[in-house]
Amino acid sequence: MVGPRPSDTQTLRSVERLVLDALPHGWSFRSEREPRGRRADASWSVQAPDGSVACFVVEVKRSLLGREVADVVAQLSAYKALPVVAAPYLGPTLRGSLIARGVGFVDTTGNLQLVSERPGLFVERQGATKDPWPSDDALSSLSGRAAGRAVRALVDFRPPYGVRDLARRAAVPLGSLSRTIGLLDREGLVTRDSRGAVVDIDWERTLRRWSQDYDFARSNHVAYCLEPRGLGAFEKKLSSTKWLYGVTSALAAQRFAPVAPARQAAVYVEDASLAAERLGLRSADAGANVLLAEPFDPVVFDRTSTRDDLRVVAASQLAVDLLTGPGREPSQGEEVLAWMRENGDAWRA
Amino acid sequence: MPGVPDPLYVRARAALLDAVDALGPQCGAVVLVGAQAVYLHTGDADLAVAEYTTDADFAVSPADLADSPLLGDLFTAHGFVPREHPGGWLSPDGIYVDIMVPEALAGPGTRGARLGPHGKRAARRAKGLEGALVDNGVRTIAALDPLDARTATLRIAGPGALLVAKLHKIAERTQAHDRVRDKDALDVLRLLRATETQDIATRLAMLSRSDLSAGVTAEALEFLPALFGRQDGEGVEMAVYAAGGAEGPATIAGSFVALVDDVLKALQRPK
Repeated sequence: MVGPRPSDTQTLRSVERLVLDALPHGWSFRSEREPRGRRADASWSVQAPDGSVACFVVEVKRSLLGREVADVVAQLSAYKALPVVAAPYLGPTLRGSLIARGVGFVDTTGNLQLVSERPGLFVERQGATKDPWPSDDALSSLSGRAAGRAVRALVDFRPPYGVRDLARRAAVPLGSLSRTIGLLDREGLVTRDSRGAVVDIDWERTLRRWSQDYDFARSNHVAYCLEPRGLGAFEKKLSSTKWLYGVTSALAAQRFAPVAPARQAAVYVEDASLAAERLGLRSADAGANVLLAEPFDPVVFDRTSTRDDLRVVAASQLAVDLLTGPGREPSQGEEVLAWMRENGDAWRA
Repeated sequence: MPGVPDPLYVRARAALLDAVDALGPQCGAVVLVGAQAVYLHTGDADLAVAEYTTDADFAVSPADLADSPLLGDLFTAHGFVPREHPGGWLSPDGIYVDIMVPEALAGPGTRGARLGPHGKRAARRAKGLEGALVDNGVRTIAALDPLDARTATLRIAGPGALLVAKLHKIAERTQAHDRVRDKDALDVLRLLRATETQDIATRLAMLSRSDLSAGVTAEALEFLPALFGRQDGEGVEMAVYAAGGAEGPATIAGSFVALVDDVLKALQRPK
């Protein structure tokens, strides 16, 4: 059980203990509180065994939003010391943008990265991956059906768009779209104007953020099947069907980017047992070469395209399915993201 | 890569056409068997990355073979080089060609078949090929090299005869604990996958009714469930090895069990 979200003073005390524990043998640590009203909260001196010292300037944040990172970095740049952000909890997206800006960080759950070139120091620790103190009113996860539908709309349509306008165009409930935009905004993945309209979105990091909460095998209801005549025969049968389906994973990926031939097909269908019967598949405990997935939401059937005789899901859906798949699928997901970067006109409406 | 055949496959097809050219007037007495016949039925799309055989194998029907010209003279005249065993030739491009006579028609002896004036070194005797003289069809095949305009029309063994022949070959090897021809097991999977269950059952039933092939077919139908009808069958393991990761072992095993079960049910033979 966790207590209430720690105060700034509690946070600083807690993270200093963590840093002290994480330092290599023979290194020493000294902290000074900055006077109230200064731009930073503390200064840390970390001394190497040879006597050389690395200086860090620390800003404590009770909570930090992605869009505030730039301001914090600017604030700390007034100091000559290396910047560090401390907080009760820092999520993976936030930690990623701090690393990208060369800012050290430490949170009370144990996530920690301190880097200094001279003296040479690299300390890294893993803590919690979920916020132990989520705020009650705001969305904290993209795992839900409505959030997934909203992310698909935000990524598939090209901004700028008003929230109401997008909700109507993509048939997403207004409330869940607003809450999803709120989460992405807090994590610094969307830019909004003064009226709240989305003027820009980092679609790639948004898909990566979705893949932290979504999981192809768990978010969808998957039936494991065998086509004893092999995938070639399966593709032929599927291409002549008239009912609703959407191919995803490796079989779809090889229609976008040069990846190794699929060993397993994954297909979204409305009713897995009916589809298995129509396609003459057997159910398989082991050795399945066809996965039939009843989707988390019918949005998987939206904005599909036909490639090499098969109807494949939208690139955004394909990317997140692969990123959360087994084996070599995550690397195929990277290939699809690369294709999306190169071919923005082909997949964004 | 789909649409672009493997260069070795292109060479194998060319050697097959070389052999047909060489056989000339005697071509009507042979039926194409072996891996090249299998690929003509199955295509090479599925399991494309797994290894395959390039040899050109022919079954001879002694009754259809004319006394002249002699098989040996025909091959030598076209630049083929005889190999050590009877019926074995090396094509000018270095591909193996084998001429075989079904055991039931090969006369007395152990290796070479007795083929009258052609002698006992013209063809090797082989058990299990009897069905090729019963289940076959005429087909025209073309070179795969765009610069080679040749075509040839010849008899190709049907999927039923090829299945019986492969089962005999594999059973022989497993009984001799000879692991060299795992690829043959993969050819069985290709045949079972590419042929509709009812089609292969009809052909096997026809082979069971023919005096020439009834014996070898009955034996083959014993080998089929023993080698390929169980997840841990020896033939299944050979195919998994030959597939080399092109498909998962459990997928290959599951496919064999399901397809063999279907064929035996269609023949009304419980496993």
